[in-house]
Amino acid sequence: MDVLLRGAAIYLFLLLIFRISGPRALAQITTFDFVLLLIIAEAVQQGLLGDDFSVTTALLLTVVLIGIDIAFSWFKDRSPWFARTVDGVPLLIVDHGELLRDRMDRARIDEEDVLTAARSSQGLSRMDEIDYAVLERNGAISIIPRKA
Amino acid sequence: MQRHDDLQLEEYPDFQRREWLVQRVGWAVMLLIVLGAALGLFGVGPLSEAGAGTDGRLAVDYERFVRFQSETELHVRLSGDALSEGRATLWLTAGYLDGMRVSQVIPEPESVEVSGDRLTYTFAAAPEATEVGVRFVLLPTRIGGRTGEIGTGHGPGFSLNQFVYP
Repeated sequence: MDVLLRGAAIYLFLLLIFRISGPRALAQITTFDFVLLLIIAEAVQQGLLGDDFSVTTALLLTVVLIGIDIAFSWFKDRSPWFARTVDGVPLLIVDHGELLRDRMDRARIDEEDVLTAARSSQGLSRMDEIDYAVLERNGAISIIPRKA
Repeated sequence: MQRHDDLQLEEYPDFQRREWLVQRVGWAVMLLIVLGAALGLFGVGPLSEAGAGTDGRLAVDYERFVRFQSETELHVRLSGDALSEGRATLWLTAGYLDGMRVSQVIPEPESVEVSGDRLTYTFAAAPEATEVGVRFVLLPTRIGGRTGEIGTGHGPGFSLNQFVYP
């Protein structure tokens, strides 16, 4: 019983806090973001398991976490609103080469983030080679190059 | 929903605006949580400090907010009538200790006596001592509010009120 509540509470709390912090928070943009992710995992792990070292608890917890995930994806398939609430929505940040500053500010993205994504994913060197840029739900920025 | 001519992307401007608003509110709540934690709302801090007694025989310091499976200490200073013939006595209600595991009592008691709903601890004290300090190291094993009483001798006790966070 206890382990079910712990698993569900931690799952929901983490979901809430990561949705509040926005998609870019831990999109592994820097090495330190990755380190931060490891530290968070370590901190949460204690609360999930406490001082219970049994295999039963570890298996139960895995079942609970994966089970909630499956249940959520089932609901997401049936309710677009639920899917948007849990996963967020994509956001257009460059439209026909024009930076949508207001949106970028609110999503805490700057021009450099867009250029980084353009260089690493498309090998583009300048802003005017970009047609569209979209901030995806997973925090990545996808770049669509301008057609020659 | 908003569509673009040559980019197949479904945007939800209203939803996005609401999300940003909720995020800002969430950040404010996180700030409040951090401030509350700094002040001791979740244990260790001015808001969490609590005391009981101070009637010349007994003075107790403890944490009002404690956490599940996380050690906390109860400090007791015994003086006056609580000390007699080289012995210091102190009792706690058994109900309080239901949800608290006593990990350690410092100094070690000479004896622990169970009577009705009370546990009476007796400590050996130097005959000339006018005040002795006792520490209970406690591990909360139940979540929620905990109340109990602490006292010395046969007189009425002082109430302890704690909240155990999950």
